[in-house]
Amino acid sequence: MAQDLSTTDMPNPLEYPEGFPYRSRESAETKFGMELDKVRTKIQSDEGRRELIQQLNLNGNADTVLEGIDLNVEQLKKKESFFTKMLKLPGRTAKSAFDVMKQHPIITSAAAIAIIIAILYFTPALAPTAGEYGTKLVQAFKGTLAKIGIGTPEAATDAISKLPITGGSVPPEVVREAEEILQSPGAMDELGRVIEGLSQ
Amino acid sequence: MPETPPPRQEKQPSETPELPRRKTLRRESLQKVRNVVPEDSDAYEHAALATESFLKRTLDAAALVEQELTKNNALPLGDDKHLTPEEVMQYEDFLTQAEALAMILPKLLQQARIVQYQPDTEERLRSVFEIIHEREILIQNMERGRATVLRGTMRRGSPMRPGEIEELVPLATLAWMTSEKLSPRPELSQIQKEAMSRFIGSLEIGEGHYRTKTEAVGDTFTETGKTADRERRKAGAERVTQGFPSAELILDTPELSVTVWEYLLTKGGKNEKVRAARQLKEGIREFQKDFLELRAYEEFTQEAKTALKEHMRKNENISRWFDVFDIPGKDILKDRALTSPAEFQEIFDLVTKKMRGDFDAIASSDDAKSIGEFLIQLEQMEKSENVDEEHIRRLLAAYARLQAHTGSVLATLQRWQVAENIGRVGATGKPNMLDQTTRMGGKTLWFRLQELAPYGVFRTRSYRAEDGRIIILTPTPPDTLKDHLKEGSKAYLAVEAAILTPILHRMAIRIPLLGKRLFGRWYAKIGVPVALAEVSIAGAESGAAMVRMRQALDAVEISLGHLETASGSLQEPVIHREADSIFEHLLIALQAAEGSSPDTPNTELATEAHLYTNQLLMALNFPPYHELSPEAVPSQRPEMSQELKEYLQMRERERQGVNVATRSKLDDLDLSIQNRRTPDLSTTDELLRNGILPSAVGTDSLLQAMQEVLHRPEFRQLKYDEATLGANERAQRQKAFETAGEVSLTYKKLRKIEFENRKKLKEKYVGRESVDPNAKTEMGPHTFSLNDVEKDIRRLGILSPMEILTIARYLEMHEPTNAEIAAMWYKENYPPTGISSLLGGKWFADNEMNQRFGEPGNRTGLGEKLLREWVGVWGYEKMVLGTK
Repeated sequence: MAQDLSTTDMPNPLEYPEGFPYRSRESAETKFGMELDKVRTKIQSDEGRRELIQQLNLNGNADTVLEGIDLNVEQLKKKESFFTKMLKLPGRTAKSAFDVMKQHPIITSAAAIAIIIAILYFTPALAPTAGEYGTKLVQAFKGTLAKIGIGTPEAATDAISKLPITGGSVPPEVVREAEEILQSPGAMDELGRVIEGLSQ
Repeated sequence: MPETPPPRQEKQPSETPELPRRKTLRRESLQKVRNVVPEDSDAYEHAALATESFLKRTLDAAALVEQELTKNNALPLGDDKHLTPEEVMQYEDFLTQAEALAMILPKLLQQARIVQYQPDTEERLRSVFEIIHEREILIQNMERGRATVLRGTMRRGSPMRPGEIEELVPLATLAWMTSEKLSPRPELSQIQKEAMSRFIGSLEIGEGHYRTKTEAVGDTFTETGKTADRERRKAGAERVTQGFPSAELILDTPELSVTVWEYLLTKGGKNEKVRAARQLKEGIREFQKDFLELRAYEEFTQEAKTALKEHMRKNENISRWFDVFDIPGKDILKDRALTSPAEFQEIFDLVTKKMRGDFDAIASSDDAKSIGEFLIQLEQMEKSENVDEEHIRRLLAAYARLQAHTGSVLATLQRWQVAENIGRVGATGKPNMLDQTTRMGGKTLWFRLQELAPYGVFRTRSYRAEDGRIIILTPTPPDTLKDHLKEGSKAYLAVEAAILTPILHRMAIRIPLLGKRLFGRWYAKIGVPVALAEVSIAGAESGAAMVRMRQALDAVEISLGHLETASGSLQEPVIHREADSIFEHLLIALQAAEGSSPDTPNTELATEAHLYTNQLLMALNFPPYHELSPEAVPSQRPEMSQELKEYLQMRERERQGVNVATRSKLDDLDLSIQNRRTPDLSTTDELLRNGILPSAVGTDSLLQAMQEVLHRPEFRQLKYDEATLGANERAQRQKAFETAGEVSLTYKKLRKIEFENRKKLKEKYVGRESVDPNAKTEMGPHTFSLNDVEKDIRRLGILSPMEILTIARYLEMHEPTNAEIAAMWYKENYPPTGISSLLGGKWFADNEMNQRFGEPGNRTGLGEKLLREWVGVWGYEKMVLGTK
């Protein structure tokens, strides 16, 4: 995959809606036989639209297709515009930074900051951009969301605690054990101490 | 209590005049609490057992109280054995409170269950267990004390029969004993009588403390309820923000609470009604202030303004740096890298305006208008004034609808906010921008490139928040032209990201210091032409992934809708099926959103999907039925989401097993529920103490007992049995892995024969008699017949359960390498050589083993895996060969 495909047309994936097939200026202009600006101008007028429909041999919902083409062309132009701007930038920035470094070695790191900032454009943790602010808003809203809810009622036990009825019948082994305890005053005292100990 | 009340009729053990309603309530309530599943944490399981014990005691006591009231009502007018009006009121209060608890406690436990892996909730659940156990021990000793007193005294001149004492013990409070005028049995010695007199003093102290402990149980439950509510709402808000389907269900499901509130407000006793009216009124007032009087909106706006100022200041500071160094191109940099105050203000206005609109929509709904009236009615109830119950029911239903509506409106608003802000360059964490393409963490170049998306449709539909949570964005269907580019400026920014890659690459390599130290590893792997070409090819697949994601999310919603609407009538297998469907589709959606290939299950995403599936089930009042194979659980990494980390930490802790002291407490509570005091020696204990199995044990109970022994600390502390494993580490390793591998391979061969014959005979079940014992079956490089496998099974049969447990314990603590697994579990060369091998090539072999055994460093659960396989082989030997 050594070929730079940024300027080459890509195969048209099946999922693409018809009307948005152009991945570069070249492919679009070849297809239309005119410059992109002209294509957009034509889309704006009824006559131009008719011409394009005829030229592209469009059937059915031609308006939708043209709308798609319009968006396609618009995006391609934006892409190019930004590419051109950014293409010029790093060379100049880097050259300037190197010049400063040569002249003022001490402030090398400071000069590099500008380049770092350019790089940090897309590194969110440090870049103070709108995205970080947006994320703060999203985070802050969680508190508001968490206020919703009817809630679980309190489980009060005051009436139960006032009347120490401890449950249902006890197993026979408790009564057998009680008989043994009863026969030994020492065992009774010991059980008393256990209950008092549990009440500390 | 009256000073000298007359003796009452003797109790008949069979008499329990429980109201049918209370019987139903009792059955449902205990059943609900008892339904603990493997995915529940130990803390939840212990708290559930304790709650069941507490509830059972309370409801048993309520049956006794009911019995006393029934007898009282049957007495003729003027009979001096009648209870006093104060006593009747006290008894009735007891009954209504017991009923209220039977409704509240399962609900409260379920709320805590949703967030049971969260540390605060876990701590609260532990305190529920501890305090109820303390109370239980006190009660058991009081019961022994009361039984001793009843055994040593006479009532109406006769000693009491043991059966009668068994029935009277729970009721025999000191007040009851006084009123019954019990007298010591004449044959007791003077020393015994004196000891009993001292002992009654201790019982009095115990009864006083019974009250304190019981109130403490109530306080602990209330505290647990508050913690659970708070944590559940936080979890719900997180899930809504993450864009997970039906997250509002976790945030709140009012209809589940409303039944309890309705009971308390309309059927509860006087105190219950007053208490419930006060609590609910406070809750409604908060809601009114927050949403109808816009307090929550104001708080949010205030917070947003503070953040706004902070970000504007930061941007200005950076902007000054550009001016100081007077860098060529600084205006472009300012424009592209920074955000102007106007743009900040625009975001602020956009969000607050939309939010205000939604708040107004909530406040103007019909249900919101009834809030004022509801507050008035609740105030009247608080003052014990009469209100129309039907009216209260209607108002409560309106309030529940309002809550659900608010949840839904705010959830939609939150999702809008996420979608609105996510596309802005610089979103926190790992946005779908540059660092998606330069991420290093274990992703292949292909996947990284796939995420480099030049158009909206190709972008992955998720990003990671700062705390590691996955945020998924609902995909738009790529069926219209507009949608294809709908994201407008956001898609544009994504285009820039793609274009910037080569530029930044060049910049980085021109500045060796920065490039090497800071960014070198990012760009080193991104070949520019390759990147752009791969992006375009991957585009088609990403578009398809988006469709898959949408379809998967829709399927999740359908399953959830089914569970939500038919919850009462669903059988457990149906719920399991729906849970599996939710899990599978959620995993597809998450993998599609993250842009990872559907062919390779991602264990981290699988565990996320598993957790979320169970959270949803629990929010819908079901247990966390969905289970994940232990081998599919990933190892912990710092960048994982909070809930995933908490879940993995919980699992790690629980691998240590339950300590002896806790298990003894569990036994106490378990016996109390069974109304017994002396435990039988369980299969687990038999196995642990004597190494033997009861003759009637089946495969399920054997597996359960062996798993339990495996996790018992006292078993883990045992030295390795030299006779089983050998004296030194090398011999132990060889023997343990070799045996585990043999068991595993034998088990797999057995399953393979069964599978092949089922397929051949088109039967669900194939008996041994239908299989040709000499017919050869192939599995990878192995060829074998049933006769061969049965020989192996008989040979393995000489291993005892304790020997297998020893090996399982070894496996839990020592993990095999891929080479060892290949040699001993698969009996294959490593790296594999033959085309028809089980493992395929080295890459496939590693992949296969990592999937089945876990990634190296995280091969947990191999001991349990061995137990499952051994029990499978043991079962065949016992049931089919009949040699056990």
